[in-house]
Amino acid sequence: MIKRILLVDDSPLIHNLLRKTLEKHGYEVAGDAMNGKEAVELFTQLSPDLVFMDITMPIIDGLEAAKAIKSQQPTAKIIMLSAMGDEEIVSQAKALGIDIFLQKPFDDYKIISAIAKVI
Amino acid sequence: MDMRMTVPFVEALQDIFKQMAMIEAQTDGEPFTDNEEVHSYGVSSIITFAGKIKGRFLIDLDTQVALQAAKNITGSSYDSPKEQMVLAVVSEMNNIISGNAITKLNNEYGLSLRLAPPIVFAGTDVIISIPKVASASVTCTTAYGKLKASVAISKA
Repeated sequence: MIKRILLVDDSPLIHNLLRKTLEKHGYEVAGDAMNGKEAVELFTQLSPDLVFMDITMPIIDGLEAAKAIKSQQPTAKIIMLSAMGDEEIVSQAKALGIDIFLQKPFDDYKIISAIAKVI
Repeated sequence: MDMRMTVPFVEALQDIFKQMAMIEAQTDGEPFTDNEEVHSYGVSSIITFAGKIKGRFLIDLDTQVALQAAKNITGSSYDSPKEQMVLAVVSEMNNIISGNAITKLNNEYGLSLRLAPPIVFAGTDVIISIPKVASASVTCTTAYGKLKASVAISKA
């Protein structure tokens, strides 16, 4: 069964690059959210197998959105993909039960090997 | 301004242009103080950050540098710097450069800095007015034209 992934990032470039990588490796993009609020709404509607979540976004940031998703479904699988990666922010993400934290930039290998560890 | 603060930004700028866009950016010299209004080279992006200090980082690219970066990253050609994907490339590159630089500053100095989403402009008629806060700029040469980076930092 094809795994369905929700992409959350305020950059159209990141959606474009992730979509190419995921489709090339046999994954389906379940939906595209441009901020944390849309992420929570789309997660509820689409029930994806995995979420790729940026942190710095308008309206609701990625950490708040991840917290809302985890409170709704504690087993939700989330990979944070952020330009930031300092010890403080990584530990905040881990405290929320984030599965993997990746720092941008990324390549196909970084993305696909992270997915393989989570789903 | 403590010039040590500029080093992570310049290093990240060179790393990210090389890694993401396959563009080598050679610095033209040491960072210099920059307090005057300047006309944009073509496409510019500003990002602000705040924590125990606050500041902003600006990148300003010749149009050809922006178009080539967009082509190398997305695999598609673009005619105008005002196309959405060209603006998205410059904006996201600024986000990643700043994020990587701030990660180093946070880990080294415990500054708890966080980024705001970047803003991007296209057009050589854009005038960039640098407020009178301590700032340092550096210009770089690439195979496709010039780019400039400027860091300003002040007390929170």
